[in-house]
Amino acid sequence: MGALFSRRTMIIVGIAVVAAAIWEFNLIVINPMVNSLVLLDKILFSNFGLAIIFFTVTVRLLMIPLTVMQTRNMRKMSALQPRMKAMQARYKDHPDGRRLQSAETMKMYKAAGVSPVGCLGPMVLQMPIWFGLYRAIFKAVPATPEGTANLSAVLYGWNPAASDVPLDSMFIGMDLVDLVQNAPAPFNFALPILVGASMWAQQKISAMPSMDERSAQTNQMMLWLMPIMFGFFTFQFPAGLAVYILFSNLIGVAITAVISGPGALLGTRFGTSAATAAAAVEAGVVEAEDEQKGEVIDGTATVLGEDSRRSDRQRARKARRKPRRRRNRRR
Amino acid sequence: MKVVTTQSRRLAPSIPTPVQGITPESPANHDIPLPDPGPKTAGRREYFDPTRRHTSPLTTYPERTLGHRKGQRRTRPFFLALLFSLSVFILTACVGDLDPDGGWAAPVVDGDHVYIGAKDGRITRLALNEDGRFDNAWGFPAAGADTLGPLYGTPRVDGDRVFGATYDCDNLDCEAIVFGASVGTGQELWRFERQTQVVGAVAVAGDTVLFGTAQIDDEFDNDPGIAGAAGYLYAIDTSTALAPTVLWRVATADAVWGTPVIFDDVAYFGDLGGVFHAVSLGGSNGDAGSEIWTFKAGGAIVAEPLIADGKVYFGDFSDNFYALDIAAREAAGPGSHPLSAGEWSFDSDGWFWATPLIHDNVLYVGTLNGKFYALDPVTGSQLWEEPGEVDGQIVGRAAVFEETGKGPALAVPSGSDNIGAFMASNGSELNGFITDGGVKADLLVEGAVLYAHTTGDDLIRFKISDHGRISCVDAETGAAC
Repeated sequence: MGALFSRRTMIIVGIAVVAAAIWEFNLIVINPMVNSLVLLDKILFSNFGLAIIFFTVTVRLLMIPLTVMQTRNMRKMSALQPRMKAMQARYKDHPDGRRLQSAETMKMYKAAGVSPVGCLGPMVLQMPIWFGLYRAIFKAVPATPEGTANLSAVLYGWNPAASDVPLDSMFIGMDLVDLVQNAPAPFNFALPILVGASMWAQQKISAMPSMDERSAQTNQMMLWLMPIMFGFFTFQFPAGLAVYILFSNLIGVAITAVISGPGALLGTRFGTSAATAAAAVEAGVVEAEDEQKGEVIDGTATVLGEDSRRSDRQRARKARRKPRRRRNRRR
Repeated sequence: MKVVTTQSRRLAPSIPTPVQGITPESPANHDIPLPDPGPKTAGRREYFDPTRRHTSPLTTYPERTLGHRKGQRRTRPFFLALLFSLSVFILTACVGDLDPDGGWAAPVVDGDHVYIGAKDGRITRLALNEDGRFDNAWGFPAAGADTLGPLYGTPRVDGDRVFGATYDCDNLDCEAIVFGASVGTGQELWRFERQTQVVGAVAVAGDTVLFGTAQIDDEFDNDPGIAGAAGYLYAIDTSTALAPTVLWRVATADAVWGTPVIFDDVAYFGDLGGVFHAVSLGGSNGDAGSEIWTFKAGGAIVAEPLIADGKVYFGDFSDNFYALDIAAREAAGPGSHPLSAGEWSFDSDGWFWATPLIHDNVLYVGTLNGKFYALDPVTGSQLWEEPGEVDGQIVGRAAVFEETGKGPALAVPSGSDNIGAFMASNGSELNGFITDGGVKADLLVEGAVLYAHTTGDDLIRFKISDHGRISCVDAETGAAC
């Protein structure tokens, strides 16, 4: 039975699931997207650009629960940063420090109810949507006879807009199927800049402050490098995809700003800046108190309070014991 | 470099020396001094593993493990950047979808030869006899010369000239070439270029050549476009060698992908906006280039229309097939009128791209979802109990052949590797003709041979008597398949 849930088995099952999803990518992702875009085009005054924007808004709204989960996860991880820093210092000179640190980090995450991969969820979910939309744009507005003939096999029989194809791919003077670099001025250079800027804002608002100097440097580098690279690559994207990415980023920024507060863009997320937290750790006050109390998770991470207590209660309920905090109080 | 593997862990000597009192759950974990890494033992060290609860807390790992992990950590940003770049590369690589492929041109018979338009725009021919030898000495453009680009429309042979149209695109920057060549020598007579798409075939009436286009880059041809036009029907005069001139053009609200058909000095064609046009070529029908009548169909029209018995037949992308009365429409005058008495539409469950065919007062037509219908050309009612069905899309026109000992039958091209065959009388299925690729071109039956041009650019000859393959050559080079 143990072998059934072994790590290797889980990896094999995971690979099989991913392979199946890729194998049926058209059926599961692209075909519904093409039908949605064609239907939206009919509803939105035969305007394919509006269809893409509306589609983007809908997708982002549907992903709000995941975005909220991601933001909360990041908030918790931010709060854990001082302890992470202290732990790094403690294991710095030990030959097996990295493994020990990793194990303790996982324990800390578990106690705080943090999923280390939770931040990646929306990003991972977005990737198939990006790939799918890229293909869907070309499929919904085919430029060749082959593509047009193939579209008939993609559209559902019940789709009332199926007879409206081929769709008009023009939107405010640019062809959404054509590459951004071929779009008329000012779209040919404005779109890459806007995509890059919106991506920077999206990364900035959702970046997690890091205590580790090297990680912080890497994050800072990626904060600028990725938008610049992406802006550059946008020249090679079809304009429709650029419109999707732009609006997706803008909506993402807006949603995160609502959840985290507008200060997030200015680098003072969640009311605790990285510098303040780092200073507290360096003073060693927090860590010393923690260790004396012998608690794994303590009151320094005040924002953790509610979730931490909840996970305590859940653990206690499973073990049919009283929560740790209550036991501590009796002592 | 030594890498940790499951096997190496298994082979590591087990050291069952638990450290008493230390477990990952121990609240006083932090206060306990960290265990000494211990001495080296045969290249391995013993390390405390707090994550192993039910096994020995001590385990062994190769010494290089830590260095390997450190290396991994350092390369992570670069790995991410590589992954990102790869994703973008994959995305941009898909832009190839904008480029046309061709290979839809049907073989056509003239004199002693069968002419074929290869998918890259070269016209070649082979002998129309039992041998079917490929004519290596003839070709337009000549062997070794640059080809003209993907070709979809069937070439037209008219007297001593062969006509055709190709187009190619770099992303959406397209260039079309309409050409005329000598049947005798294979030399180019003229060419007419525009920055546009010409998907359908040309229609020829004497020295006048008609073809439909998508939007024109007006700067290129120094010919101001017509406001609101997304396509045109062009009529060019080819009587003056090397310099065809535009006689007239009709602007359409949507691109024209279909092939125009000329009948009684009238050109009939449809556009992607679903408007079917009847345009005068002059004479008693009015000024050349003037629209006689139009009809608004339910969906885009790309199928080449068929004219027979005073009616024009065509299908569209709204799954409808129409029969319009030409005389009644001419009498009604310009403008679009709904279907009147004597006209009909047939509602199928697939888009129509194929040109219909009438044989023995039965109209045959296929749809893109692989259904093949036999209709009454007068009433539009289905004549077979169930439509025939093939795997893949029906883009080309079917061909009638005589099935040995059974009577007339139909060969139906399909996107699969099999040309379907059905009895004309009741639609019962026969053994098909096996191809090595989809066929989107019209089929040709000449004598006892069926010709099929596949999307893989093979020209295959089948013996009708037993459906067996006679020969297969590459349409461009003549090399055996």
